[in-house]
Formats: sequence, structure tokens, C-alpha cells
Amino acid sequence: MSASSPTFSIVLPFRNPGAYFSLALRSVFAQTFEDWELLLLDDGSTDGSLETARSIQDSRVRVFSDGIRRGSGARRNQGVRESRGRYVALLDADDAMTPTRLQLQYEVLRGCGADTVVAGDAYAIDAESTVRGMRAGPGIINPTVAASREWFVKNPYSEDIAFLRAQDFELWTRTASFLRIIHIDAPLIYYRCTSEADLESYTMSSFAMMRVYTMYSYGRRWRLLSRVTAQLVKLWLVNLSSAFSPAAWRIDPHTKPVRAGKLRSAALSLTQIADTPFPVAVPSD
Amino acid sequence: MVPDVTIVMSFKDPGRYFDLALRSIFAQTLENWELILIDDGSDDGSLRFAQSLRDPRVRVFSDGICRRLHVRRNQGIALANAPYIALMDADDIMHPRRLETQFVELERQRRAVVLGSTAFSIDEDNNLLGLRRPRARWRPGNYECRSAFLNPTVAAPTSWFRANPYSEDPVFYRSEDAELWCRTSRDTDFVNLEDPLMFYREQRRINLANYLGSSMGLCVLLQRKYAKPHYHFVKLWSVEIAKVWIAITAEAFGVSDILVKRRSQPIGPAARAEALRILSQIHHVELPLPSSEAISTSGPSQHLPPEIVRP
Repeated sequence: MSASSPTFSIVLPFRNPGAYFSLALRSVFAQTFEDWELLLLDDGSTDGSLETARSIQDSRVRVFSDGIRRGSGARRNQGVRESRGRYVALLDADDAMTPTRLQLQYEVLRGCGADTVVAGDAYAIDAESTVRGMRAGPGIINPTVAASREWFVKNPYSEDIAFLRAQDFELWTRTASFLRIIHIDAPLIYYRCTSEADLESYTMSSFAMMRVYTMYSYGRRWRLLSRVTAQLVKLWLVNLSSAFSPAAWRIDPHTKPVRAGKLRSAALSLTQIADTPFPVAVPSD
Repeated sequence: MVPDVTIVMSFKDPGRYFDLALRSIFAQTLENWELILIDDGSDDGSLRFAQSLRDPRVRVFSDGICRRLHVRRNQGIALANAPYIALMDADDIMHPRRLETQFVELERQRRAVVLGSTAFSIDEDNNLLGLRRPRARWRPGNYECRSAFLNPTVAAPTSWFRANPYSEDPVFYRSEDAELWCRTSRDTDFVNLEDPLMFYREQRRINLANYLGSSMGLCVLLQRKYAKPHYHFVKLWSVEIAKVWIAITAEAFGVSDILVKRRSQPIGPAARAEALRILSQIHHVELPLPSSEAISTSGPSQHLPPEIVRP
């Protein structure tokens, strides 16, 4: 395993991640499995995070930027094209990996063929990076995914602007019929589930998901209609309830509570990640 | 010589519609126009077709990528040399007197107005469907302004477009016009002419990809303007959501053509005959193309000036 072809390529797109970015970066340097490269793909950030990315002094880290906003799907595809690793592990800029994530996925991936995708659970963290509970879904938690580079080359994300949100849902729906997936029953990342009422993102995701339903319904019209109807009723309710009482819709039905002991150890591990240094250029006087 | 009107037209795989759209420009009674054609990543040969036009009034730009209409329109507006801009879509057809009528009217107005008109609607095979009108009743600042115009019929002073650019927020990638009208209706006079100055293309059935794209923008527009605990918001929001449901349901059962037909009003036999006469007249206009053997060498195309290619 040489430095030019590492085991893992971590593909991390970012667009104005702000204060969350450094935790994501630190979590890479906190990995127990060290044979990785990190591809940082800027998507038109204007918050100084590109400068943060460029300040990292480590030959395993490469930064790409063209100043344009093209969406995280297009950026992940770009990351896959640029990657040199045997496997690609996804990560988002507002999340963080648990220190054993790559190790755990490596153990599974090395026993599988190139057509297998490995995903897992996640700890839910809030805006203050406090651990709130566990998440096992719904569906595949995109930033927990790792697979062979070959798989991602064969199954790229849609770069259609309609999937500026929910481009992961589009990919997993498109590949559902032949997807071989192994689910690791352990949290692989700290997944940012903020309570801010970001209605616009929710609306955009809803429309992207309805687009996916209409694209992949293959003539099963009752199934299409039941899904679209459910989605629209939810969107309708969420907006009305948030107009009437801003706190009402923030209940997160997907986060499950965990034992106090487990919560404590997850929080401890997160503090350790936050204390992990990453090598930055020292500004010369 | 400074042109009177700049036609801003972006195209992405317009296919067979492109030819008639271009012919309708060369059929204009006002001849002192400038045509800015901006390719939006076409791969159906239409870029080559545009490049083969031999006329000093035509400028073709291409950078090979797809940036969507709102970005392309802003680029075209930045490149325009005329005092007025007329919008145009690559699948529509201009009435031969469109530019002349709008130029005269814009010159007559002593203030900055946005000027639209009614339009004949045509189907995919250029059959006449009827007459389309913009929404008649709306108040400045109101959400109803979103359909104050039939968008490709719009012409306005170049300075107005530059002061009021399209939002390049990707959420409005299919509802850029609605967002612009809602944003500017308080400070600008909107005028619509009764004469149909365009032939407006209607697909036979609803294209759900496009429909969902524009509804998403409208929903976000509604959230930004009105998301308050108020009866008005409940009503507008419920209507918007219900429309999406109806469109998807109708398309799932293959009857969305009923919804499309409802948009046009029937026209009388005299108007119909006149419209058909004009269409056939446009059909017979010659495009300034080189002889067939010369077509293979692609003509002049310009890269967008760097200051226009904004992120």
C-alpha cells in the first residue's frame, strides 16, 4: 500500500460548512485506520472554509475548487474521478466520523466483491455537537456509505439541478434493484440533525423525492400516487404547523434514544475528536 | 450602428423547434435587431446550427455547460447592445410584428415598463390550440404577480433588466420569471398588449420534471413571502400543494392533456385563419445559411467574456 494508491479515498464535498468543518476534518485525522487520502471538494464556498481546507499540510489531503456551485452530487462524482484509493468512503462537511469507521468498513469490504456497498448507523448530533441519540435510517444514511471505487464510477450521482437536495435518495432508488448492501450495526458517523427550521431545504428535498418517485415508478401508478400523496400531505402539514408554531415540526421521528452509558462514551469520543489536531501551515511572520 | 432591440435567447437541445424560432426572427418587420444566442450545453447539434448562421446581427456564445435559463438570461442581458431587450425561448415563434410593436410601445412610454402580450398557443406539431392570456387580476407585491406575463412575450428596457437581474438561486431554476415579477411588481409598471405577438409552445401533456421544478420554486417563493399564521397563507399554500397533486395524478393516469387544454381560450375562425397565414409566412422565410457543403466547418462562436461567466 503506497501513498499514491491508498486503501480509502474519503470524498468530502463542502459548501459553506462554517464552524462544523473543522470537526469533520479532525475526525479524519482521528481515524485508527491510517491508510487514506482525503479529497476536499469545494462547491463555491464563501465562508473561508476553502482557506481552511488549503491550509492543511498533509500529503494525503487534496483540495479542489473552481468557485462554482454545482451541487454535492456533482462534487462527489468529481471526487470519485480524482480518487486513487481502492475504496471510496463518503463524508459530509457537517458530520464527523467515529474513530473506527474506516477500520470497521475495511474489515467488511475486504471480504466482498466490488459490487457491495457498506453502510451503517449514526449518532445524531445537534448544532452544538451534543449527542442526541441513534439513527438507523430512514433508508441509507448517505455519509456512512463506503464501496469500491469501481462501484461509484459505475453508479454516479445525478448532476441534474433538480437533485440539489436528495441526490442520495435518487442514487439509492436508481440502484435499489441490484444493490448489494451490507449494513454494519454500529454507529459510523456523528450525523448532524439540526433543529433549525430550515423549511426551504425541506421543501427542496420533498420536490426532489417526488421527482424520484415519478422517475422510477415504472408505471405502478397506485404506488406512485400513495407516495406522492404522503409526501405532499407531510409538506403541507409541516409548512402550516411551522407557520403557526415554529417549534411544532422540529420533532425528529428518526432519532432513537440510547442508554446513558453509551451516550456518555459517544460524547467522550467526540471530545477526543474535537481535540485531535490536524496539520496546518504555520503563518510565517 | 446600435440595434433597436436585443433578442436574448438561450437554448438547450431545442431540436426541431429551433429552426422556426430562428426563422421568426428573420421574419421581423423591424430589422435593426441583435440576436444573442447562448448555448446552455446542447448536444443535439443545435449549437452547430446556430454557429452556421451568416448574419452580422447574430452573436453565438457557448461554454459547453448547463447553467440553466436564469443564469443564461443574465449573461445575455449583460451582453446586450440595444436599449431594449426582448426575451425569447428557443421553442417559441415570434409574430413578424412583435419587435416593431413592442419597440414602438416602449419608445412611446416615457417611463420604464415591462411589456408583454397575449399569445397564440401551438402544440408540438405547430397546430393552433387557441389564445393564451396572462393573468388579468393581480395587485403589486401580490403572489398573483407570478403570472403577470406570458414569459417569452416580455420586452423591457435593458437598463431595467440590469437593475433587476434574475435570481441565480438554484431553487428558482424553473420559476425565475415568477420570482422576478413578484420581486419587482411594486416598483415597475407591468403592461400587457392585447395583440398576440407570439406563438407559445404547449407540450401535449404535462412534463412532470419541469412541473415539479417550477412548483418547488413557487413553494419557496411563497414561504419567503408569506409563511405567517394567516388565512391567506393557508389558502395559497394549500392551493399550490393541491395543484402539484392534481398534476401528478393526471399525468399518472395519462389525462394531463385536459389540464394543458384548459390554459388556452378558443379563437374565432377569422383569427385562426390569420394566425395560420402568419405561421406559413414564417415557414417560408429563408435563414442565412451557407451552402450545404460549407456547413461542416463550424462558424464563429464566441466564448463568454470572463466577467460574464460568474460563479
